[in-house]
Amino acid sequence: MADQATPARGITRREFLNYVALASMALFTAEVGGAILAFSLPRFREGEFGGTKSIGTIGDRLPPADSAPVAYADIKTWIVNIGPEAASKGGGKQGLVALYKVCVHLGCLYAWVDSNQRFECPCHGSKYQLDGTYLEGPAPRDLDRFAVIIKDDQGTTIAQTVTISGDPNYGAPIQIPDNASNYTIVVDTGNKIDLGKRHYYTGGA
Amino acid sequence: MSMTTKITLGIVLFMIIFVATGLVLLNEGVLDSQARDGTGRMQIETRAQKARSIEAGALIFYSNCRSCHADNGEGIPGKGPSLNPDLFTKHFPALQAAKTFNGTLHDFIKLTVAAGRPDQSTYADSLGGFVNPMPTWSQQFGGPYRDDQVEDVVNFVLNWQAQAAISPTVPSNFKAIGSDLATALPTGDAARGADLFAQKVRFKDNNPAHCKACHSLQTDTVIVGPSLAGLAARADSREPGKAAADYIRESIQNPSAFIVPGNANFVGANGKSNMPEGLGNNMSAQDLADLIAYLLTLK
Amino acid sequence: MRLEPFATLNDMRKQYGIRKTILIKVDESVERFTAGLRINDVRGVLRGDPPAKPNPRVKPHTEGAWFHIWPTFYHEAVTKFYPTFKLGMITTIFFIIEIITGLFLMLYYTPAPGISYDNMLRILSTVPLGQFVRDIHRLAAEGMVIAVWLHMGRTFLTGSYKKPRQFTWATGVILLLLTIALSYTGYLLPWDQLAYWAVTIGASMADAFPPPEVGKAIGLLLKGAPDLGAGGLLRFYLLHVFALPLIAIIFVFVHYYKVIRHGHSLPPGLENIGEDNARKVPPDRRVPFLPDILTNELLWFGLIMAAMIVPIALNLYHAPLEHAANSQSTPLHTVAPWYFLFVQGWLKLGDKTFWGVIFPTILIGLLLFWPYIDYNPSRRYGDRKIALMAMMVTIGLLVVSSYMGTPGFSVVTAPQLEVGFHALPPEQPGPIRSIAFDQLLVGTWSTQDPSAVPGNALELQAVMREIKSEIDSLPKTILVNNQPVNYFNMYAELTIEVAQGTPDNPTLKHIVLAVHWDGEPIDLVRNQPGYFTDTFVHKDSKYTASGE
Repeated sequence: MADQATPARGITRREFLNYVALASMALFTAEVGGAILAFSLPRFREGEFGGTKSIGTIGDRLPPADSAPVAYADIKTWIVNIGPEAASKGGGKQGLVALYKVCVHLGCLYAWVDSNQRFECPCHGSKYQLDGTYLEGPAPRDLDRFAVIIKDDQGTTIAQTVTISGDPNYGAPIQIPDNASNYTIVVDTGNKIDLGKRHYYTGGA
Repeated sequence: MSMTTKITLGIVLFMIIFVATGLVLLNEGVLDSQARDGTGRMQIETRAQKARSIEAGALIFYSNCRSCHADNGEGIPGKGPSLNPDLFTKHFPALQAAKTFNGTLHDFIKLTVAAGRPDQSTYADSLGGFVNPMPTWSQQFGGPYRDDQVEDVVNFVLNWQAQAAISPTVPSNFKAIGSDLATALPTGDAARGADLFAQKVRFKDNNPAHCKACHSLQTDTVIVGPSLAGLAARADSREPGKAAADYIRESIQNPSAFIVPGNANFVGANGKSNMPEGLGNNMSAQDLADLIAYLLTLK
Repeated sequence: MRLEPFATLNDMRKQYGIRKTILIKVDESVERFTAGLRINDVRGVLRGDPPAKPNPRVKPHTEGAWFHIWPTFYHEAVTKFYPTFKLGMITTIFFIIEIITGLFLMLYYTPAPGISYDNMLRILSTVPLGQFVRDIHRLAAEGMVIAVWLHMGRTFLTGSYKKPRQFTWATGVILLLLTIALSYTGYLLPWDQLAYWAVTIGASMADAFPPPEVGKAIGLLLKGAPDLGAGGLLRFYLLHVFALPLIAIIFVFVHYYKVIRHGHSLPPGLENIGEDNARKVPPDRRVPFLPDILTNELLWFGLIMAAMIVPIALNLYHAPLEHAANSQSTPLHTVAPWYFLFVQGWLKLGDKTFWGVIFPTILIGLLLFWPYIDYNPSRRYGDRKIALMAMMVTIGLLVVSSYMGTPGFSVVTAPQLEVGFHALPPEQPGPIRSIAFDQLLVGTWSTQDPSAVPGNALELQAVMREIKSEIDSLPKTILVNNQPVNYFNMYAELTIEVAQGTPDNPTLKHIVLAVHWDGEPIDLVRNQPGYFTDTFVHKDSKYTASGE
């Protein structure tokens, strides 16, 4: 038994070659594993819902603070610039958010009603502030948001929405940096932010 | 257990399986007589699926459609055309006669529900105009519903046709007040007026009042027309020289005579009020008096 | 080469006559078909004669493709109900039933949202025996999950996982996971509300896998998109009908090869500690496969088929089908499938990543490597007090955590929602819809006075009493954000109107369940105080109480 357990000699050339052959097969197998993963992991075309979409520069695309939001139907998104007024009425924070265009009540598509300065859902009358906070109606919570990434003209990320649930700044608006008019706004529709509950209208002007 | 017992038990079990499966098969509805009488399980299930589709469509209609097409699909002047019975008896036969639409009634309803109308309804001209076009309801066109839900609504609407439309019977002694502003009205009963408004009772011609489709009773809430909250307090001073009761009467019978300022949506494209004309054609003098009496209680 | 003279058919006819020639030829064919048994041998098996010598009945095992899977004889001690309880065989029978019924269901099924649910309706309404086949597929799936669990429990109980059967146990654990995965992926395919939300809840656990990037990738791999949709349905379908069955079949063969190779372990009391005599069967304890074991297995097959088919034929069970999946509306009290209830119970304890991913992974690892950890060589119950105690405690914990996973545990729902949910559940018929259509009397009925319902609608009256007792059993005060909220003097009103048809011959009725209590808020859609649930009931809907 003992002489079976201990090798009789050192590694021969043939044994060594066999180890190398096995290692090369293992390498190839690992590559196949990676290839299968790459093949099966779904990707989304630029601009497709579920992926990221660059909607243009801040200078061109960002609506002025506290003014009517801009809709992007293909990515089911409203781009909102929360100014001091909307912030004081709603969640208290200023900056840029991308709102998911679907009402959190029953999935109708809500719209901005300029005369009333609020989002109104056509189906069952849920109303939301400019920043997506719940105002009235049967909806259970604030509107969902998408993560937003701000990139400079080199493609470097300057700022992005906090997407870690539980973080105090989870889903908070992005502060617009100074001299940012050449920066690009990228909306990540694969990253939906559910603020979880109603943040009621807090009064204000 | 001996082998013979096991074999006997096996025989019993396989006979049970044979008989049970055979009974299921015989009950399925594959026989001609079952298909004819609709007594097989498959025929009953087919009916049940259709029935549940109608139920689902009814619930969607109840929550989304009746604010413009009314509870029984009879339509609301100014908001939505009559489906029951006009769609079946007038609109669709007219389309067929004009050969502008080659599909079936089912296709026509499904098309309209799914894709809505791009502009005011095609019936708008003949029916005095509608304030808003039909919205899109299918997810395919940006609406909230899946195709099978649209199909449910179609099944529900078609079910009216299937059972001969209920159209209200107008009593022979009914006399409409129309746009006649001169005839003196009898004493109004505010309680009946409130019931008319809430659609708990109907006008003398057996049609319901549709005021609440456009007018909210909540302060500053605009559905289509102005809120009626506090109407009694301000009706007096709307038009100089017109008493509150006269102002309200004129607004109902001749809506374009005075249009509440401050909201462009109250005025239609032709400069007339978006409130439909001819509302008086469904009311007797007593109906109108009761409604006015009720509206005068909204302080 | 010169051909040897051979007997042509004509020669044989001349020698034996026509009848005997045919008999000889048929006998030869039977021998080839049965891989070794002549007609008289087959008859000997059926008559229960002792085998001839040399025994021809072992030939199908050595020559035949199918029978070589089985041993030629079993030890007498393992042919009784104890110690195996036949659970491995029962699981296999369920698996075979699943494969056959599954293939037939695939004839009418396309995995695509918007089509799949329609296919289900079609299978139920237009395919003869469609409902029957689906019911069997569903029942056998549940049966297989139960049988696999019991089989594992039995193996632990009798210590059969011990040397030399450690690897057999490990493949068994993998088969348990595969069975659950098969059942779970199949759960989604009808694409109804039950399927969609149960699977959404389960798949969200994959997202919780740490670190977040990996969790997100696993979720995407499984669902094919950020949300469960067309990609997810197709992936689950391919897993369910192709990948998982293929892997399961491979593991079944590995598992069964090991079982046969080592022999079925004998009852613990029959051998010395550390001994394994399963393969050393004395000739007088041998039970031949043909005919004894085969008869026994066919009997069990009949028993299982009858146990499934009789309840279906008597309409005692039908597989549920809820409304089409609606990604915008989550029904109240949505839960994962019952065999995941214990995980749902753990999730209520706290962190999703720990209780939903890390803790189950530790448990599965422990289960997989248990035979390599357990150093106690004895299989006797008296020597394994701690292991058996641990088993009982584990079973107890699983039952308790499954109870914790049920909707009733530690989930506070406002009482008015509970009343609406139980009386008019969104996805089941519930008591009100099950009332006979002509007993849904037009009018308004209150739980304050159920006896006001006329005597010709006793079902309606009974349901009003049922709702009343439901209201009475609900808590009068619940805590919302640590503030007590009162629900005093609660009662329900049922308003029934004719929605379509004439008053004398209604086809569709509109039912409104209104719940009222002291201090009720205004319903925002209706602008009236109270809580309202609307539904419509058609006369043909066939909401029977059983099986739905």
